[in-house]
Amino acid sequence: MATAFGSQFSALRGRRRERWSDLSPMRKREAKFGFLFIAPWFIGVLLFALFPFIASFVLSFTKYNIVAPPEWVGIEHYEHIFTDDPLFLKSLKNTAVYVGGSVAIRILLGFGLALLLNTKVRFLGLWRTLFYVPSVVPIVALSIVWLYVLNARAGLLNWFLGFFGISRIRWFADPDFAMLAFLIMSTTWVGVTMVIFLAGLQGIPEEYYDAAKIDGANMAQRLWRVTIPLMTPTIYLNVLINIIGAFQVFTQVFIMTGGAPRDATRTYVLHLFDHAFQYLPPQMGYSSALAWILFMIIFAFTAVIVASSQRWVFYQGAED
Amino acid sequence: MFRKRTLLLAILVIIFALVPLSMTATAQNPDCEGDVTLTYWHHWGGNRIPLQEHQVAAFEDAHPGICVDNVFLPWDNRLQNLLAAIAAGNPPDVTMFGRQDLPFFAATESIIPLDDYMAADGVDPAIFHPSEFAGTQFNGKTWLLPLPGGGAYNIVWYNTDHFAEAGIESFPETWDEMLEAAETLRLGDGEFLERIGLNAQSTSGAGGFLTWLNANGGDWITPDLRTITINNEEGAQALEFMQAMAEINYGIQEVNAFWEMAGEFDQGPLIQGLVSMEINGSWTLFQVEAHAENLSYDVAPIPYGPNGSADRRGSAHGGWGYMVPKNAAHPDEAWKLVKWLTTEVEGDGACWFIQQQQRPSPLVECNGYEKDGVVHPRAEALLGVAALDYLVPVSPVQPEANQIIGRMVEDVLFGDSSIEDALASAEAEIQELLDAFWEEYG
Repeated sequence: MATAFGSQFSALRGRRRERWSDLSPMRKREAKFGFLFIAPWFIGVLLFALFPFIASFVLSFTKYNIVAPPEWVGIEHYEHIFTDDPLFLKSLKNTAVYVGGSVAIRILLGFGLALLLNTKVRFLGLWRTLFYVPSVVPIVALSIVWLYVLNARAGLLNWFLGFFGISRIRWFADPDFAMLAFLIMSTTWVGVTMVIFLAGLQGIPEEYYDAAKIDGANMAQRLWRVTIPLMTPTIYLNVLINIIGAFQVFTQVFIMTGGAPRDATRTYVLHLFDHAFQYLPPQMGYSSALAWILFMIIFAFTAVIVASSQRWVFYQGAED
Repeated sequence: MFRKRTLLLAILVIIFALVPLSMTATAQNPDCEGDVTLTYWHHWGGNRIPLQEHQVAAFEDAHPGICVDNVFLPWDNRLQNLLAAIAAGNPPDVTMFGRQDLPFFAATESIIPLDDYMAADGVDPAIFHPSEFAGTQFNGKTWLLPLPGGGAYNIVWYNTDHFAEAGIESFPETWDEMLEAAETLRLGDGEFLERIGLNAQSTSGAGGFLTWLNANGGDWITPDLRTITINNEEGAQALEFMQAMAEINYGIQEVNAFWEMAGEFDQGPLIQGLVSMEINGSWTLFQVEAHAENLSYDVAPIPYGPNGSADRRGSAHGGWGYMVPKNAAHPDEAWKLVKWLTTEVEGDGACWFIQQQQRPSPLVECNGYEKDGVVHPRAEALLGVAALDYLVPVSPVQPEANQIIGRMVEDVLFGDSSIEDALASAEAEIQELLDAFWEEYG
């Protein structure tokens, strides 16, 4: 999959830029249609992504309560965040735990499921659908369902754990278990990761496995020596997508716990949201500063992963 | 031909792109015809939605030419929605409004003072109970009109069958008696609860603390709203009481885990039989009658603490009202709707709406417990409890202050902090916020 992306980019890079006047009437018409079709997306990005992106950066240096014009305060918010906001570190730590846990769960479980569903089992389509469907359920509805599943007194999970002699766990009342509950919930979206892995697995030529078998490789060796190296572009993609998404975890926490108990589930975006929309006076400037710090953290993680990818991501047919 | 097709396609693309922008959740009466359509936001959920629809339809009938977009929004997101609408320059014409949010909106004049409208229409403040009208004032102006009544927010609703089974003959008057009763009524195996006598945190007022502080004769803030006063003997005793109650219920974690079973309306803890005593507002009467008509219950005032007194029990934290945002599209017509929702006694307006729910009315002339000419048999008891209410002032930084106090309560109940340290830390933190507010807006 990543190989396909790579070859397309290479093709684009190699193409000579054509002037508008050089285009044939047919190509001009095609180009006009092209621009027309991307216009809604482009306008949307400008209005709802790029403009707020830049505006939030400017606002992060202001005191802005929404009802009055912003007032310039320089780097005051950034100073306060790093020196006098105990919930900044707490929420960042909680988010880091969620990122680490949920990304590991989704990658390992998604990869495992994809391997299983890449075999010739009965009702393959049904299994694939069953694992993918939860990912398309609205998160609010999912949150309500998980509240029931993780209910300490009458929840399905505690009932199940009871068969193994595990005493009732107070998932959302015990600070030691609350984040674990959200990590368990994160398995809901494993279907998305699984589908991407499946696409990657199906791109591995069968000849490699045949050759490995002839060389006497057993199943584990084929997995370790053939599948995983050839899947590194897909693993890379999934890790990136999941890390970026996990850092922004908000909706389920907002609905299910609001950060309780003892702020054990107070995630970074929830903290940011409270400053913007829950407190009076609203602290939009402060909230924007928090948002930009999160952006820089995600950016740094992404940069490190991208930079390190040269060492551990292998593309089929690529030269060293 | 090609140009025409391209143009048509472009129009279609733009229409499809803009459709999502114009979609809003509205509940407008299709039969209403008028030149002005007011946007009205409220938070009356559950079985109050049809009452709202009826009340608004009655307003439209009484005011030809004015239609109302009746929009129900969840309480939890009220500030988010309102602030976003104000920021976008498209606020509702009228919105239900927590009185605890008043200081900030009034200080920034982002809502319209109603005094001129009241004077022009002869709306005398004396039509409201004085304590209700007091909550609408800031800097000497009236910024909203009250409804529902801010009083009777903290009444103890108790299951008389549970009390009879436990052999408790009279309702507790003091905290010591309350702890004893709660322990007798609690059911469980020493680790897991089957029934709670009382959950001391489930009351309004920042994790319950402000309610217990009030019942112990303590004030959390000075009347000028400039100084926090929780770090004292009354505050410490309130936390000790909450700590003792949590221990009776096998600790804070078990209480919170058990409370996950409780919800709103027909899922209320008293209605489900999860608790023997529940501290809740006068609106519970409507809920009990709608969802548990066979429940054996009675009402009583909150027991008072060692530094409290028998004549100051419950507390009202803010309450509600209706206001007109500054950039409302139709402020004059909006005022008419505010007047209908808060002062109307004859038509199916303010008084009718309160009477349908059988709860205290902020209007002197309206007996909220009189419905279709019949006074509710519980009225006397409920009004008796409401008479012991004390209006707790709200600070200009109330939402964040509530969070800090809630965190303070958790610090103590989870055993992470001593009562003295928790009180001192919370008081200092809120005071800092308050000082910053007054420095900027004072």
